[in-house]
Amino acid sequence: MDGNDRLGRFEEIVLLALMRLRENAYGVPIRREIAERTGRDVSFGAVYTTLERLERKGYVSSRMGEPTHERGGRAKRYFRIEAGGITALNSSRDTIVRMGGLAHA
Amino acid sequence: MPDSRQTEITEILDMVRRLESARRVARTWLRQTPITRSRQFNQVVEVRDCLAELRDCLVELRDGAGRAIEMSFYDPDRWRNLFDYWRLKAAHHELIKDIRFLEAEISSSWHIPGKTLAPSPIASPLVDEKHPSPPIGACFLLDLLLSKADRAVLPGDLEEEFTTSVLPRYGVRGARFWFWTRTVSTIATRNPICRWVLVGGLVRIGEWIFRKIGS
Repeated sequence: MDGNDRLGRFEEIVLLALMRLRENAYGVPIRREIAERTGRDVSFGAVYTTLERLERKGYVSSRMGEPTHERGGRAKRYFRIEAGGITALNSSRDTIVRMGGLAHA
Repeated sequence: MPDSRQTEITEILDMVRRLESARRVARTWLRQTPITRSRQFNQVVEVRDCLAELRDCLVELRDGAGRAIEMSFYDPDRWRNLFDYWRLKAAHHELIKDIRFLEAEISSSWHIPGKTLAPSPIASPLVDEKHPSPPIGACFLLDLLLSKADRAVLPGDLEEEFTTSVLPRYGVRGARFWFWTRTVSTIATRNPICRWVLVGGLVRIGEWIFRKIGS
């Protein structure tokens, strides 16, 4: 992983939300999951901007779903974490553990 | 889109077109002619019966327009389709307003010199509609200012959140305010031109305030 591929804090949160939601990961549940677990009221714009950045890096993939009644006939865009995303998350966690180890030494 | 679906949408749009003039006439007449000036009691009764019939027609039409909107015929790739979608959305919105207006007229007492026509009950009034829609102006702005890819998904997310979570928590007014704030923040986040216009506007307002304070 080069310097540009390092995960930002919010990117990590979004990836973890995708891991938790599994198959049901689209805009509304992702935003809700982040809001409930972090206490931050994030906007859909911020969530999609991050997801698209992660998709460009190859950490997540997306597909269009079926439109539903409560969405005014619009489709859902489902996201899924890819192997590269899991590796990046693990690498990020390892870095934090190593840095935490130094701090406690 | 399947042919049958397209045919149904075309039929609904035709009905909307045909009823538009009737709606306009009824509305203008009701707003401009005070009921108390009507001379004949029987005529007043007849007029109110007509309004009740018109209301039922509009309810039917509203259901048709609502079904067409929900039939997932929204397609951001086709401008013609997007135009029809917004025509239906606007018609649906106007229909609800007109039905409410007619219901208020039908269900109130009508006074004419010497007599009073008692209120007429309405079987299923729209006043208690449980699922108000998000502000149509905000939805239109989203469709107008978002990119094609965002347009297909983001308004749906906002609408779903509005219906399932925000509306039960904050009520209709609070939820509509929430929708407007989210619309502005979403457009500002996703559309770079709008973001710069917004930032530029705020900077200019700030400069103007400083100038006023300084002078």
